[in-house]
Amino acid sequence: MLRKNIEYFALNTWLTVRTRSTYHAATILKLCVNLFVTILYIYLWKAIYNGREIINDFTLPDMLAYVFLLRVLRNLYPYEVSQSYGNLIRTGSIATMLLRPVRIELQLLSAAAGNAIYDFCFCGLPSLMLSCFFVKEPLNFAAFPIVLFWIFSSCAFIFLLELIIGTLSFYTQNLWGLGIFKGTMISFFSGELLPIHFYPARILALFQWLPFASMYYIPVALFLEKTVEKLGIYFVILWGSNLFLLLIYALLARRMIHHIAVQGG
Amino acid sequence: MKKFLGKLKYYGKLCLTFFKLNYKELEISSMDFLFGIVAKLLSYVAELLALFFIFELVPEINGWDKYQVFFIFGLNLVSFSLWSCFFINTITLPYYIERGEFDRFLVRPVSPLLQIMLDGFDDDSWGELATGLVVLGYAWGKLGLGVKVLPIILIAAFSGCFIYAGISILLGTVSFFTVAQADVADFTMQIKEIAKYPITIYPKVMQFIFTYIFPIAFVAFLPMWMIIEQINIYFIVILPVVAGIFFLIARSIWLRGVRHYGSTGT
Repeated sequence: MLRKNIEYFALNTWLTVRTRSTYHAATILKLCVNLFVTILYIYLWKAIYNGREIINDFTLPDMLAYVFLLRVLRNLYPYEVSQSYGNLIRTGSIATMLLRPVRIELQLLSAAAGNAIYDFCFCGLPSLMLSCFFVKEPLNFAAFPIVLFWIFSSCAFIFLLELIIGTLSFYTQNLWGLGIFKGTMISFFSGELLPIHFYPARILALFQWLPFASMYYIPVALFLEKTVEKLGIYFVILWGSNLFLLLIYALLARRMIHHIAVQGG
Repeated sequence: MKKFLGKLKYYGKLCLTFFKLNYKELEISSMDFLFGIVAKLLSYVAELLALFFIFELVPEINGWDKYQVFFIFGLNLVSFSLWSCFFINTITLPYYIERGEFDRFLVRPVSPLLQIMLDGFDDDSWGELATGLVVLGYAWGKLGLGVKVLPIILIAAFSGCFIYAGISILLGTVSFFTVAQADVADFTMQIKEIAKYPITIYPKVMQFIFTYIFPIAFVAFLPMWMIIEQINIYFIVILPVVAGIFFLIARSIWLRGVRHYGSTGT
């Protein structure tokens, strides 16, 4: 059973990558847009620093490295899962997915892995290559294993969160509003909208108790050799949240499956 | 004249019918719709908070102070929300092409572009518009600009709406050649992000692109500059002229794209 699941995972991941890269012009456009946007953010931060050497313990090179790494990480997280789940429910395709001899979570996970590989190759990697022109100081690659583990943990967190939001569309029938709400919350609390070290101290103290800081701030800080106080607390909060979300999803999924009403398809 | 009025009545009726249809579609998922309005308001509050936090640490960005940046942010948001109310569905073109749904627009006796616009209004954008007006009003008051700048703001807001429409139509045209999947929507949203800061923070090449190719400098930055530099009020005529020309160019390129279109089937 496990072997079959692994085979399915590998095959569906590969299929997703192939599907995404079918349209070459669209792939090139995506790559260009991503690089263009990254460059714009670089100039925005250069303008904000404007001769200042350091702002809240981050120098301009640190900040530029943050922007590049954020673009890479953003493409790895499975943000599209809830939307895919919601679309399956809205269009009624969920019925076909449930009939397959593979769990729906595995189907969504393998598609998310395929998307992450595609986005990393065509957005993340070019951003990293571009960073060589702007970031002169080398990153702390000794921290790579721990950063990788942290990214994996955050991926699990986002995937579980996305599954829960996706299941809610059994009730709301649509995920447009919930999707915006989710996006806003994540971008504000995770440091995607503004790096969290720019937030006032009182808000920063609150963020420590939320798992979102582990998504961008912690991996980047580790790469930049910044001292992260109470790293253990962040770790416990992240994995505690993962277990909590897993429990919630298990409960929700069991209830929602009885609530299903296929609207055509 | 009679013929023109007849056409106007016909399109008015068409808009109303589509509006009713869209509204009924929203009613199916009313909970999500309400959630979306609140979420959108929250997203702009978060963006504003981020700007506030930045200005807590630095007094200005590239010579532009807090209230000037807020003014640009507000004016940009007003233009964007106007675009969002009427033109947002133009960024959905890749999905119509991908699913083979674009064909149905071609067999009806109404312009395909108008049909796409009407196929999905963004009914929640009125909240966005309100947020933009509040931010604009706040910055306007803090800058002590007075009532004399009102014509500039009104003209700039509507011109900006047509500039955004031109950009989304132009980017949508790419889908006719790439056969869908091009992330046009994301790029249009990113352009909105660019326009909320003074264009002078970007390098010269990009300033050129944002002024002469995708004229987003005319959405909020140049109107603000006109106000600060107290340029002769008659110069504001340049805003609708640029917006109109750009929109017409985008539309003609879109029509060329339609001729290139080959159905993907369903």
